[in-house]
Amino acid sequence: MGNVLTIAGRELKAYFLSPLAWIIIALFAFFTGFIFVQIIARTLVADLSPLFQWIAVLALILTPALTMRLFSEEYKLGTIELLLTAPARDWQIVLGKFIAAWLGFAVLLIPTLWQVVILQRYGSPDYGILGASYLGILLVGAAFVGVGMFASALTQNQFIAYTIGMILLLFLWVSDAPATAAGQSGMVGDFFRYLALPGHFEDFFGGVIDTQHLLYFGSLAVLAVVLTTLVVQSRRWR
Amino acid sequence: MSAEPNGETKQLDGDDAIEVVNLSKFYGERQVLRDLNFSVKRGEILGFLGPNGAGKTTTMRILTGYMPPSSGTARVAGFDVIKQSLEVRARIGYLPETVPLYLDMTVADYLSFVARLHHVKNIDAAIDRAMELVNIADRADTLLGKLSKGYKQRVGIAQAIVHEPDVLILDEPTIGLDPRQIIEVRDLIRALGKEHTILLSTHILPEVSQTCTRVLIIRDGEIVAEDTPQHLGAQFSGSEHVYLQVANVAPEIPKELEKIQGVLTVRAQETEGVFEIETTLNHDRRTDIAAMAVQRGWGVLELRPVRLSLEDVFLQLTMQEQEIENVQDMNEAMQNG
Repeated sequence: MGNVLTIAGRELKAYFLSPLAWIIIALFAFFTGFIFVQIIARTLVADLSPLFQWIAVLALILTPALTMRLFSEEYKLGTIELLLTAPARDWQIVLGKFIAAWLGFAVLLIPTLWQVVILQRYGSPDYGILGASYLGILLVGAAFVGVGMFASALTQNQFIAYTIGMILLLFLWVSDAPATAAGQSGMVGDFFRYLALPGHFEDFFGGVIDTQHLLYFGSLAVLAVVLTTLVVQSRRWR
Repeated sequence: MSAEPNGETKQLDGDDAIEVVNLSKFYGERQVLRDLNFSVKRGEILGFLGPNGAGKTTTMRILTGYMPPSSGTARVAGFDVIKQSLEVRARIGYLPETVPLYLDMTVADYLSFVARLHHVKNIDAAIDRAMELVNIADRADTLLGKLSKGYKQRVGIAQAIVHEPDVLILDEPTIGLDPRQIIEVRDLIRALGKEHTILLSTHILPEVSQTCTRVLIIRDGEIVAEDTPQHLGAQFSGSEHVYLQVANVAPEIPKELEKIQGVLTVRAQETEGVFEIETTLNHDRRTDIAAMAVQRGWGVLELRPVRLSLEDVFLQLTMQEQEIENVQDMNEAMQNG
């Protein structure tokens, strides 16, 4: 565990030292604030669930930017050689980076707490739903960060890492579309319908915590860590 | 991860800090290491010399656990690099060819990160010691990205020694440095050699003769020579050469000299009165030559052994004949031009 924390610690420090992180945080805060005002002005209801839908969309666009440097930069700088020859296992390096990026994602959400304060001031929000929504968006974040990290492990070019991450996430988001449009049933159709992200996070934003969805996001995150470890390991065999 | 319990194999067989047996490596179809065998004794500074692409970096990457060999074994500090990779990595300090620096970290932060990765107990003391050794204590709070090439290289060495490893592996430690920095780094390596076993690679010849106790010349993934820098010269010429300069030139000098037992050939050089005398290996004929010169009144101005320079040996070993001729032609052209 020591190695994981060492890696995560350095990663977090590097993250907050880079201007990119602050740009992402600022963009995220601006857009969530903007959408919040639009929604509240129109509905006048102390309900953040429409906002969380939009947070998920923002996360889709911004998380790959958060994760693109995780491995790409190590490859580019040659520092990967330092990590892979240190007495740490490959999965510890990957897990450390994952945790750091996930914490980074959580930081993005901090400005949205201000909106909860506003709702509390002028209305009576349902804290059960809010809690479930934050849990949901954190789980979405875990999956997104995992996928983004995996993309980063594939290339030393951060822009390509961003693009691959984005494409993978988009695919997950809309994977049910062809099956639904074609009215396809059966194993394949069901599988792609199951894979689609929105069906799994929407329940959280409605205040429902379903183990099936917990399992979905948990599996995605674990799978991403495992696949990333394999990709990193494969460098040893090339 | 290892079938053998840790510690069981910790005791060293003999004094070998590094032991390489039948090491081979393929990149796809291409074989870059062919049955490599060598060992490095404790406290030795072994120079790994070879042209670019000879397999130096690959060998080092296998020894540091970065990649596994295709076949063969290697042990570092008594541990198997494949089965006990983590044990090996804990005992190695490694400076890769590209110094692995996070440019947005300060020197002290970076060294403390590396020390943590190596589970160093007293981190502050360790990084202070490392910075002192490579003489960068005054830059502790400088960002790595702002350092000059020479300082970056020193930080690279500092990160390799911060956990006081048994074995230091340095891949081209002086590449890209200016002459003054090269001298500093070489002095540093020599100093470190007092406490560590060092394997360093280079394609620069003077580096080896100046810093290493033993040289290993590698070409196309094979070891083609192994000895002290001094011995290599004699060993690979197959004979010894003596330089003689006399004041009173006489036409019979070559003939007379060839009468001495053990003298193979005598060649008059372009400069008048200078001869190069080839003698059989391991027979120093200088006393006989001097005695004869005095007896015949030639007036000896200079008499000294000529060794093939390491450069000559290197060229002979690592190049095809045609290439050697090309280089010789080039040298001559440069001298004449």
